[in-house]
Amino acid sequence: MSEVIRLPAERRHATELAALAHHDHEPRPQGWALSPRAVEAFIVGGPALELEVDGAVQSVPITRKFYGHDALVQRAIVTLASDRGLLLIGEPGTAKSWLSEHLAAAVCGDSMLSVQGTAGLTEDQIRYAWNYALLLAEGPSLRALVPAPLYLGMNRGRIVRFEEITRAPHEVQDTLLSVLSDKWMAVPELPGDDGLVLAKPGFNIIATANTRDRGVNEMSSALKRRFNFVMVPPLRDLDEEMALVRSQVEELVGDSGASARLDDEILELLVTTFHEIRGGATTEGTLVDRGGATMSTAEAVSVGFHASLHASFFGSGAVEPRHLVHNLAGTAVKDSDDDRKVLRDYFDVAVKPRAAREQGAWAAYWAARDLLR
Amino acid sequence: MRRSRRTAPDDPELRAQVVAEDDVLWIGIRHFSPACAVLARDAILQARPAAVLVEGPDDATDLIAHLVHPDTRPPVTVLSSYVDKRNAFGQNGVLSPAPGVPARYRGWWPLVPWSPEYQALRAGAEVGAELQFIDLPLRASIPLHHVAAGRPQRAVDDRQLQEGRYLDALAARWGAPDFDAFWQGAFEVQPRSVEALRRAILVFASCVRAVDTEPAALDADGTTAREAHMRWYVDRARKRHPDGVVAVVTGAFHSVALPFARPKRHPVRADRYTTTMLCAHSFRALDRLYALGRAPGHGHAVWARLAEGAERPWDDAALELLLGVMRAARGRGALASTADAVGAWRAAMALAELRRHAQVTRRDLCDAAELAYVKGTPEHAGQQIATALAEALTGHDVGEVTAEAGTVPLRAAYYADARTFRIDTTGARKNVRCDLHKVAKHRQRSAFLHRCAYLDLPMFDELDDRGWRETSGAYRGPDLVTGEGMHLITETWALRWTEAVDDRLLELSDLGPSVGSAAATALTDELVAAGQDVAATTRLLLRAVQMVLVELFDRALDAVDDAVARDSDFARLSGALSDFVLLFAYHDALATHDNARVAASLDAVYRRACLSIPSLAGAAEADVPELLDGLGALVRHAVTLPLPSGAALDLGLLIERLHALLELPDAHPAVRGAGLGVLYGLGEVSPNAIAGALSGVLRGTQRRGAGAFLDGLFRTGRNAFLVSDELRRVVDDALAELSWDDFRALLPDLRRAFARFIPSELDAIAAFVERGAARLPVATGGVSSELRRALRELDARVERVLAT
Repeated sequence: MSEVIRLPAERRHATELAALAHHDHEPRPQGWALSPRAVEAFIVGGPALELEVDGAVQSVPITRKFYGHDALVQRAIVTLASDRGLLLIGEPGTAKSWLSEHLAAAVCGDSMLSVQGTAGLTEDQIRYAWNYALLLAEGPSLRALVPAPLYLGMNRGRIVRFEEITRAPHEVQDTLLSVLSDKWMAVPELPGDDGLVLAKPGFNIIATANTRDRGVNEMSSALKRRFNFVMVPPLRDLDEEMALVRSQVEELVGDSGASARLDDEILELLVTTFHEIRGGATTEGTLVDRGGATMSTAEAVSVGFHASLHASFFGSGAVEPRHLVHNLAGTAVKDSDDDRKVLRDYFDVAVKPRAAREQGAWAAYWAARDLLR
Repeated sequence: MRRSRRTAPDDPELRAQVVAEDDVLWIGIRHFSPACAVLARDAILQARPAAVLVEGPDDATDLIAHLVHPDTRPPVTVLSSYVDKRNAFGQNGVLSPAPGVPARYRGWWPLVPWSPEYQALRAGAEVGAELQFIDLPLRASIPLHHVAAGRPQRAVDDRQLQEGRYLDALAARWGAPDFDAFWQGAFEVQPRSVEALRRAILVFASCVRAVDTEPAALDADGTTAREAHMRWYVDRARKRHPDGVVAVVTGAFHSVALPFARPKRHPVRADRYTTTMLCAHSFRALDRLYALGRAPGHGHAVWARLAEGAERPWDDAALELLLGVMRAARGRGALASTADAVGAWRAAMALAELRRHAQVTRRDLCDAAELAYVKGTPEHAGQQIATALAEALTGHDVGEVTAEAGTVPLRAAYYADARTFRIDTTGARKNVRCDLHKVAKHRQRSAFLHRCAYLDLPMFDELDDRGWRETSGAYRGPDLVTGEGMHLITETWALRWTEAVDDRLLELSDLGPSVGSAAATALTDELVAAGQDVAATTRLLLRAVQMVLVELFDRALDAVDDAVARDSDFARLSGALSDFVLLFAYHDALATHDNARVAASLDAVYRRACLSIPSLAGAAEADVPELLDGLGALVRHAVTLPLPSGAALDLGLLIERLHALLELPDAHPAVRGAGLGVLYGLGEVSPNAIAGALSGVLRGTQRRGAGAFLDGLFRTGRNAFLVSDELRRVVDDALAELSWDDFRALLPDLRRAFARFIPSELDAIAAFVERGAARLPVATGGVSSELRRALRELDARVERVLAT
């Protein structure tokens, strides 16, 4: 059990990154910790690599971190190696932040330079602020300056992550304009060379924006031009989504110290439900209402995790269909009656026939439907 | 030089080696591959063979001289068509609309400048080799391909090279999403010598063949027969040129099998129903018609750079297209700057490097364009870029064929007609007007344009003045087929010729040598397919009249007569009658036929419709409104239509059949009401008969049918009801007998029935009812305050009832 709730990607996968760096003989863009191909392997997985750890050679599997189109990952990597920022857009819960974190970890070994876009975000939370006691005592100096992620990223040649950029006020977004085009930032309060931060090689920005909230189409044209947009679509492949949900639920359960078993047939119930509602149709071709709920893979992971905790703390440890239903009601549908109706309708048109046809887990799933109400 | 038949080695690499080192120069290709085009051209120029044999229909060999002629400029296509008049393949009615309509099979062998087959033939001609197509002709391949696939059209493809477990495994290992991406990365952009590329492709094809092919499957899909046929030509060429090299250019899948194939010529006799032509083609048609020919604009750009001897032709082509996309997107109002183009180009290069492509492939190019140009969500910001990219990838080149090859008769006739009628064929947008009543040439032009529209030639645009009610798309004017705009005396057409007209004419070329004959053939096929549907048949007759296909009139009228004899559906028959009435209305403008013949058919339709009136009794609820409209139209025509001979339609028959209908016990109340309404209007029944019928409904178990009864009555007897006090009184009296609860239950239906009257008519009816009510004691002496209060309460109650 870990001492912290969650480690950043570069520490969680430190061995993989070390193995990749050890075997990486491809040319690297200036300031990068790995070559583009090694970054790609870190994100989409690759063959196991040997690495000497504490005097012993061990085989390090390079696991897949991101499930989806590999071409999308390639486009993202290529953008980071260019002079443009990367803007990952997509529906909520499509692993944009996850991808952003792992890209930053692989490219520069640091995914912690992160800004969260909110309506209350101010420029000094991105660029730099001041230690006012020192500022009053000594006047403007580097000692009194409190660097924010953008300052640090430029100064150290790192990737800066800007989450939910479209939720930030326009004037704050526009802070990035000159930084992205000129690659320098002025600190007018400081005299001489200290008043100019020149970006070191390796610096770039990964922003994310979801298409449900305030849209990317409202961004200024000037800022749009400085980003390459990469759309991260929801997973279309059921098997891929099952693999992703399983790996993430197991990781979360492991980190939490709980002990639960999520069998394949239960996992299939969960992922199929999300997959079909999101797609608006069952595999048999029955149309189902999509509703307004965010039936993302991230939400499926959340339901799976909570169901596992439920099974671990209040059950035998084996996740049962009723645990899923119980947590679907609380986790996925939030408090909207419409969302609940979507799920109830889904049970009527999709789960019920399967329960009659296949029995087993689907029948137990159907039997637990009252927990939705 | 005779050799014993060899057996193919099991080991794919050994097999490829044997093929590569054979006496015959086997050149395995992928269709539409620039790299293979260079391979075929250079290998033949180096080897200087005595014969060059190419995969293509052997009955098109005579066309090769025209194909390699300096005046011929691809894209062109060999088009072979076969009209199965004798149903030799048993597919008439399966692959054609009806058993009486012959299936029309077509085979396309499109060629572009970067087609390996084209470059092989050009190089072969340059070195003076004998040139020969060696594949099965269309007719022999119909049962193997067209019938098996259930499609009357087929184009040359690389299907066998593209499918299978081997390829899936390879593509996954390469990280390629599909065969095209794999092929471009593995073969097109990799620098190799001619011989190295030839051997690499043979190894690849040997592996595909070794992993994925079953002899039974090859027999079933016709591959074995095709390869035996091709092998026969190879053996013949070797005999003819014992001392020279024979070069054979086929799909790579076949190249590694032909050296081991058993020769057998497929016997096909030429017949007059098969036509094989060499025709000009276009990139747009290639993009639309063939999965293989996708993105000809890209292939064209690559080939142009190859022809210039560029070192990195794929990179140069990608840059050219990325700039083109930027310009086109900007023209569409998208945000795309030169800086974006620079970004796109850098992204394309970086993607190629990341994917280990020696140069930028089409996949890299498309990904880079999307990455750098799309500034927002795909649905908002991506459309303009997607359109610009698709246009750049498609290109717009149009080919030419030497005049010596002749031209497709239909295409020649179309352009001759277009010149005669001054129809623009340059692509400019024009409005063309036809004055049908005054100018004879305008009538001919109208017929030509209607024929073109019927054949779906893509030469029409949208009319600007959309405010006109009669305007529909490209045409405003009298439309005989829909019955709209019949009061107009001129036609206005919005025209804009496009290159796609040529492609469409090619597709239609086996219908006839002129636009008129093609339209007639298509219409004849439709007539046969219409069978006993008299409405569809009559509609086709109208279409024939509109297109002035005089030679079809008798045939169409025969078809109508034939359908009338067999069709007993009242709705279709009444619809057909209305169509005939339209025909008479149009006759002034197009007096092209003997009226007596038309009148005889009309009379037959009318009689048959009358005879089917009793069938209305069994009408389903949902069909009743349409049927009653038909009944109303039938009566109207029977009373008003003047026949050219001076004779009238047999009204007595109509009356007799309506009486027969009313005698049927189970007729729908609306039908019963409508029948009585007609007969009352014709003076055939008294008001008391209607009152009796209505009371019968009201007293019966189907009381709710009273609303429908009145609705039917008002449909056909509306005018009679307005002018006949007697009729209004009997209806009023019958309703007055209803209890409050029954009246309340009927009220919605009654409201619906009375909604047929306009407000002033309703006022008149109300005044009449009020006068009738004056007879009642309660109304004498004016309206008391108690009565007003009671009426207000009644109104409120009715509102509440209706609201629930």
